[in-house]
Amino acid sequence: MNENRNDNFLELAEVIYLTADNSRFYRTKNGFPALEAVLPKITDDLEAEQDKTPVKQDLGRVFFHRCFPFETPDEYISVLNKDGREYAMIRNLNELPAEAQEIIRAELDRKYLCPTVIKIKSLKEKLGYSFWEVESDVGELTFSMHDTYRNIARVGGGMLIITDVDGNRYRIEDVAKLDRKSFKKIELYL
Amino acid sequence: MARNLIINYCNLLFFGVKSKKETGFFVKKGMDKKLKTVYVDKIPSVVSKYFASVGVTEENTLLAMRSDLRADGSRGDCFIMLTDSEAVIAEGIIEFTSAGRSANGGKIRSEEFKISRYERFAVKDIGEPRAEQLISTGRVVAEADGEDRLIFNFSSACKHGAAVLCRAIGDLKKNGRLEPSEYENENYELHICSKCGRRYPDEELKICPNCMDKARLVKRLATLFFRYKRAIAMVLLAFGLIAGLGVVTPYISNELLYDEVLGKAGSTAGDVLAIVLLIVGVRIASLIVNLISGAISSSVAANVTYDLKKMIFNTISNLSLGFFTNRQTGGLMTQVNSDSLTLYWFFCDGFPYLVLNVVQLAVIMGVMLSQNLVLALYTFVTIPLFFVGFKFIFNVFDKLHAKGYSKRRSFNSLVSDVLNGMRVVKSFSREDEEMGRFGKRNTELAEARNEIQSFSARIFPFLHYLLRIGSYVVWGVGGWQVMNATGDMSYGRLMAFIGYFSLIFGPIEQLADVSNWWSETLNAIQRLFEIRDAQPEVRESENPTVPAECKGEVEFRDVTFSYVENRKVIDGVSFHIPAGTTLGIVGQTGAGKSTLANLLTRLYDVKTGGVYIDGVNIKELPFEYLRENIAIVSQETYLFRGSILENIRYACPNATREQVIAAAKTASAHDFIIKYPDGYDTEIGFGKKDLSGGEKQRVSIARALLRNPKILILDEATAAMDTQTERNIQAALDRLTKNRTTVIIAHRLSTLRDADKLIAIENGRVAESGTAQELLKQKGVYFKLYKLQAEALKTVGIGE
Repeated sequence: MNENRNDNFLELAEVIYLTADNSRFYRTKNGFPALEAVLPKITDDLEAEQDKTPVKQDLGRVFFHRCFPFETPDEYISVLNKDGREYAMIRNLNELPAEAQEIIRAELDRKYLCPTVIKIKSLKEKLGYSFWEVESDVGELTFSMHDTYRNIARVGGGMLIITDVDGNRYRIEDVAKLDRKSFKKIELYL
Repeated sequence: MARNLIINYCNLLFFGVKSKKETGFFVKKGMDKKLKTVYVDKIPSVVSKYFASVGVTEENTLLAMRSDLRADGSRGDCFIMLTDSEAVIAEGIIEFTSAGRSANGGKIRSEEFKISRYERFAVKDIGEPRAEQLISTGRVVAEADGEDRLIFNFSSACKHGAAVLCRAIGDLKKNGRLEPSEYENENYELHICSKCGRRYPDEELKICPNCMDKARLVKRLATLFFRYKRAIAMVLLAFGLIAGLGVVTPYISNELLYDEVLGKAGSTAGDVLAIVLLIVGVRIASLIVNLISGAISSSVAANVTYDLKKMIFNTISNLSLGFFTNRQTGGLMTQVNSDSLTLYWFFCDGFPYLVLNVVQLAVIMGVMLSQNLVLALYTFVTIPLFFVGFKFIFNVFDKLHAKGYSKRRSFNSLVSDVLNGMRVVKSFSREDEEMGRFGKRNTELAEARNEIQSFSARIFPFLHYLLRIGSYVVWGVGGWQVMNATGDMSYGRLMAFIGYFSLIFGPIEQLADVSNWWSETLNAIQRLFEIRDAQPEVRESENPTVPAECKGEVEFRDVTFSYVENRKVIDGVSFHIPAGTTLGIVGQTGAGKSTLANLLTRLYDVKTGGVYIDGVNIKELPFEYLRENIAIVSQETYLFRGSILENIRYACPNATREQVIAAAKTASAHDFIIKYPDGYDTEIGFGKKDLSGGEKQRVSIARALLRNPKILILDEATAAMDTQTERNIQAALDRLTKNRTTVIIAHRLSTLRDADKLIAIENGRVAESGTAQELLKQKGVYFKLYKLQAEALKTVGIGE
């Protein structure tokens, strides 16, 4: 009975998912991802009866946003226009053609770009700020944090997201897998 | 020559920009360039040289910045120079090479800027650039030939520079020049620590915590110290008396008793009564001193903490709203409380104790040394051992306590979460899950506590045993000395010695912890001064213009505003409200309507553009004048603890009862107030009578009306009321809004039916403006809203 209720709900929500059949991703001349898709026309006009029949349209440059960036980064990706209005969703990136996957992955990698910390070389607390020296996948980095305890977020499992004073993020894939010395340094803030 | 070739080649290769363009900006622009080059970031000399070689010199550069992400998203240097016609971008790495040795043998280092990307954008060929904020980084994009094109990438560390550059290019496109006053304060030297070159983590404070010299903090501590010097002296005196008595006690009750009185050898031999009386006397004296010092400390404690909190609260209330939205206010207050306690503790406990302990330690050690040099030296051997031991234990305890503290925090937050959300928990019958979560956190907390307990259970017996070893040494060596009568040792003296020995450990224990609490004190004082030093973002003009009379004409001129860098909430909004008229603002949630109200009341300052009242920029008006003439009833109504009367009178405490009743009546509040048994004297607030949402709104409208301002802002002020009440208030307001400039922000269009003019806000811009009739004809945003709300009425059969 529970399932029935949920199915009914799924239908009502009318989420459109992009597939290999109804969409084609391409790059603009300047290398930004763009989309041509068969979708119902998006109108702001409330007067006209909403026409839900899908039409083939070239939407130009599109933007992506992961719905569950930590747990399923390749699934449920929202495809948006520049004002943040959603055109449709991608259920699973792997179901799209290789070319589309490549275009979208490159853009997602850029959007979610964030160094992964491999080792904490030094972590000093001074007058309410903490100063970090870390080794990351993009080389050595130094940054400072305020309110350290609150700016280290645990996101599912052992992953940590650290946000510095500027709003830059750093990721620790699995805090339990850090070497002992690094772990000891960060342990106090967990 | 070769370099120019390469550059031309690069140009052709990457962008096909014709080199003809390059020469364009060699032409001197004459005298209109008053702006000195604004360096948003420091530009290394080798890079400046490089830019000069392609014709971008300090002469023609308006703005220079550095970004830390390259076009491909990798980390690296990217430099952007803006001239009045072009944005020139060069990415690459600066390589250091050793170029031999100079005459006196020193190394000559030469730097080279190895370039990996070089691009020029003509300002007139690109659209206004936007900074697209991504998750942790961002990119500046501009339209060229109808398509978006990447200008450069940046990480959040450079987001401010990116915003400045976008604004500068926008201004260049619009006005052809940069207004010096708007860019001068962007120079990096104003925003970085002169010592370590890091950007200040907090723009408002301009303090580099890394380089903040402790000496300055200690100095400030000392100024506070002088403020409380009498209190500290008194505590010190009390402590000194206690300690002095503590030092003589072992002497009297051991050496004097055993050797002089009982030893039959001394001058006072056999005088037992006298010695007993003396011992009792000393005990009574120390009891009295203890009582007095307790009284002194507690009165000093109350005074000093009161004073500290007063000082901090005063500064906090002067800060602008931005300070509070950046920090969590609750946390701020707890912090202030605990920090002032730490400071109090330092002044009235820690510091006097420290002085005392050092003195006491020196005196005792001196006495011991003078009494029996050999034995004293033997006993002192164990002291470093204890010092190290205590230090270790305190460090472990600190860590354990910090862990326990964080567990307790998460436990507490869960409990308050669940209790506050009990309705939701119950309605979704999630009690079991919440119990589970509670259980988990509770276990963690218990475990953390347990760890502390078990550590102390393990370590303290061990430590006491160590302490025993010390006294065993005294017993052994001293006993042997007594038996052999060497070293001038007697039984009484040995007993006194042991008494002294046990006195040493108190001071040592505290000294071992001194470094910890010293750093804690410095932290506390830094945080307190951080608040005290914070410069309010919104500052009153130093020599404000005071207009004679407020007419109430309001104008927004090209206003932009953002709470966070690169996310414009208000984007180029202009409108004009003639004095005495009513403006209605409609728009979706989050469109920026309330922000407009915040800007008009100067809770925040506009980023660019200006807000004018009677033609005067509000930045030049005194706060007093603004508060006097503008009143706001916001969607978040806040009533203070106290009676309804006090709440209505909040803005003008001198209002008569008659005025209060008139204001309440106008706001339709009178009728519900008199239904309460205590009428206007009904107490509201925590644990007292709780007003409903609509009632609260009516009280706050009454509050604003009583102020009788020239400009009244109603920000969703009637949203929580039923339609009938809203109508009543509106009818009253209609009468009131005559001759009063009114801004009404609302979702419900019925609220706006009497507005002289309406504007619709969409994504921070004015989408349309005009009278209701005009907007309906335009068939835009307003028309849509109108239709939606009319439809809602149709469904219940009230067609219009």
